[in-house]
Amino acid sequence: MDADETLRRLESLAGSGDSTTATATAPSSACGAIVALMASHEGSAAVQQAGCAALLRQHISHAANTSQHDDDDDDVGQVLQSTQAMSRALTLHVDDTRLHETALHTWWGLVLDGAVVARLGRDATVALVLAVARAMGAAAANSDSAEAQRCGCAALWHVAASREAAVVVWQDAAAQDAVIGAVEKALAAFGAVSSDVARYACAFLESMCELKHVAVALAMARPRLVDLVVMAIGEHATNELVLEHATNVLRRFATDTAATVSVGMAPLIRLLVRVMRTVSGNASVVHSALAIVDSTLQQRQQQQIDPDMVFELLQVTNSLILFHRTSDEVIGAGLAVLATLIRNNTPVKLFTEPSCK
Amino acid sequence: MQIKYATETQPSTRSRLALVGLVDTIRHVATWPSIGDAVRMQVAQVIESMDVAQRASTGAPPVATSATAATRAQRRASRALSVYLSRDSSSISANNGLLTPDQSQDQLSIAGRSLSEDSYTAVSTPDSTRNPCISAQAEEVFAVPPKLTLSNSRRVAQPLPSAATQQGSSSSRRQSLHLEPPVHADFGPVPLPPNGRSRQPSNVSSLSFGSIKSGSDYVTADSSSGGPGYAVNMAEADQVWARRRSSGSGSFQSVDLAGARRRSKQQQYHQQSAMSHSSSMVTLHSAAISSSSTSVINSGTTADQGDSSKPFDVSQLSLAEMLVIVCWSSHGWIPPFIPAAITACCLGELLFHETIAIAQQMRLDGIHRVLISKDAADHPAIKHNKLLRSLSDLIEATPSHHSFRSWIKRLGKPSHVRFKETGRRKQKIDYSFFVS
Repeated sequence: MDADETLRRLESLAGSGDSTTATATAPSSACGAIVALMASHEGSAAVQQAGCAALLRQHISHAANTSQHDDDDDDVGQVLQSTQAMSRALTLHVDDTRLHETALHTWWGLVLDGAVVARLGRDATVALVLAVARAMGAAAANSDSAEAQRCGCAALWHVAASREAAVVVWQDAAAQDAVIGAVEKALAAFGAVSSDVARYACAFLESMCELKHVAVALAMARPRLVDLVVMAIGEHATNELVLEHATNVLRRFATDTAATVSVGMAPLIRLLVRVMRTVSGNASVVHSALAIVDSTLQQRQQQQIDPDMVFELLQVTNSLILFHRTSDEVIGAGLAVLATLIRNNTPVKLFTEPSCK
Repeated sequence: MQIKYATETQPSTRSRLALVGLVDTIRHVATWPSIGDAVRMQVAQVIESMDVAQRASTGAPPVATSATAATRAQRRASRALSVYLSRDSSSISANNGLLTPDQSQDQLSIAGRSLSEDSYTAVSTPDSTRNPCISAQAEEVFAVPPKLTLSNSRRVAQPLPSAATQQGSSSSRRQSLHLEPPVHADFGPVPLPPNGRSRQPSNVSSLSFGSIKSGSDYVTADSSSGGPGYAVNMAEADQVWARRRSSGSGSFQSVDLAGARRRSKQQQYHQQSAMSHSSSMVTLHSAAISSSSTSVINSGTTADQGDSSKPFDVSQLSLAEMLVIVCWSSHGWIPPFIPAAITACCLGELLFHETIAIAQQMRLDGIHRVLISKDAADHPAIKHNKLLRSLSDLIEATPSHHSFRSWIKRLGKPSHVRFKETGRRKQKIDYSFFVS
């Protein structure tokens, strides 16, 4: 079978929606057939790319018919088979950016179902995240396109969203290093220009930081991550999708670890005030931002607070408490900010300011 | 009229005002029924800390222990919770015990109805374009909710309802009516006369400006039959005030509402009844300039100590010259960047110097909207634009650090004038000043 015929066969196997072929046969059989076709033309990047796409479409088609098949083992088997095939394809075509993007997109699709990810097991999980991290690294080296990083970060986020998988990743030193490193590089290289990269990277970090002690370890081992998250907040201060994850991560860093941000206190608080004003209706963001402000004020109580900054902070806190009057979290965070200001003696300073006399 | 913002004042002054505003909001938070116990406790702690900080900043001696401060905050919160009334219930249960079961809702004057959008002339809305959500939220300022004014003349002692009773009377038509204001922590007991007995005022009429009706001269809505309260029109009221002026201020007695509440219900009944006859009470619906709410109350105690270098004799004012300020606080509607909106109804050119002080305070508080009611606008002083022009000029040109408290001091509040928070509703606080 030549390459053209293989491509047509892959198209057929992919099912393209109705997936007559895929549903006619067992899912694992369809996946196995695609993998076999990819293996028969390993030298053809086009076949590998078509194979990756076919794997994704076949997986989606299968997921849509899960209730009919209800074959859990097949799901896990498909992910394993697909991962191996795509990893080999990327190894052989390391310079093919398009193939990397397609493979990472497929991985994203493969791990969308958290239940499947949770059943992968330790080895398969480690193999998958290592493959994704390697693909992200290779794509970043060959291209300035954010697409591969977007898909890679999203895939890793969905893996980390499964607590079992997140624990596996964190406990495996190689996987941990590869994955965190890949996300850090993606955030550093594309976080400012791509809101999706920033969003998925921060979402991944948020999921990881939900594990106990992870935030502390990350802040200690990779302090740059903290700054990158602040950068993401600053660059996407109007994007609620980014802010929801980024402020949560920063809150974890700030409250759990007292992580030092290279950004000064005043710029950080001003940034957060800007964020709170911009997305004042988002209780999650507002709560996180207030908590970060509170932590920052607590950690740097010795620093002089600019009256302008205090004014803006008090004003926005006032408005937010009124706005989120049904949210105990926001009200509590606002109260905490005021309590910290009081502990820092700010009211006394303000009231004894000469201009107030 | 272009009104400048507080942002033009010094940063520390703005911060101070913002701090006072936030603390005021937090005091208000304790009255929200939706908050949980943890937040309620947090509020009490913050208020206590703030009180300590404020005393530290002013060098004032401590006035309360932490336990009492927390207790006060909790009492305020529970009191606010207890004023939920049910229209379906035959008894209007208010924890102040001033309503009888047979008093129906319609006997509460709903003055806010008249303060609808069309009854105001917007004088200035310079900030409505600063943020899209401001203009949207500012609309709520015009949509004035019903303002329920409880006439003193209708107050009759009634046992306090239990919390369980109030909970049980909840219904879908439940409406929040703050008939009893939370007693402000800083509003101390009113001093008793030397004989130790409360002053029993006599010959008092109740004049409430909170119920100005559009297109009507009537300034009090309590004209229901059977009660000692009565409605007066402007002309009649002017005559009343003219007579009082000529008779001198000594003929008026101050009313100790706070003290009255602490006395027995029977005593309270008599005092409230007497008050309806004898108190010349002008309701100053203020409010809620966030920074002023505490200041006004504080002034009730501090100015009593004597800063009356320039006595301000309220009795020298005619009714038409009375000042009614309706300030809408930031409570309830959310101005993201502007601390407060204010509606000012200024009656009478004789209040020019008071208006100066108010204008100064407006500027400090970042007032972005001044509305003149049609009733007020019909007044000759308003018609001739003297007051507006003066107000405008002052806000534009007068840099001042006078606070609301200083305004009170500037008036030289004599000892026979007492300010008191008389109502706290969802979106505003009412103040009354009682004139001897």
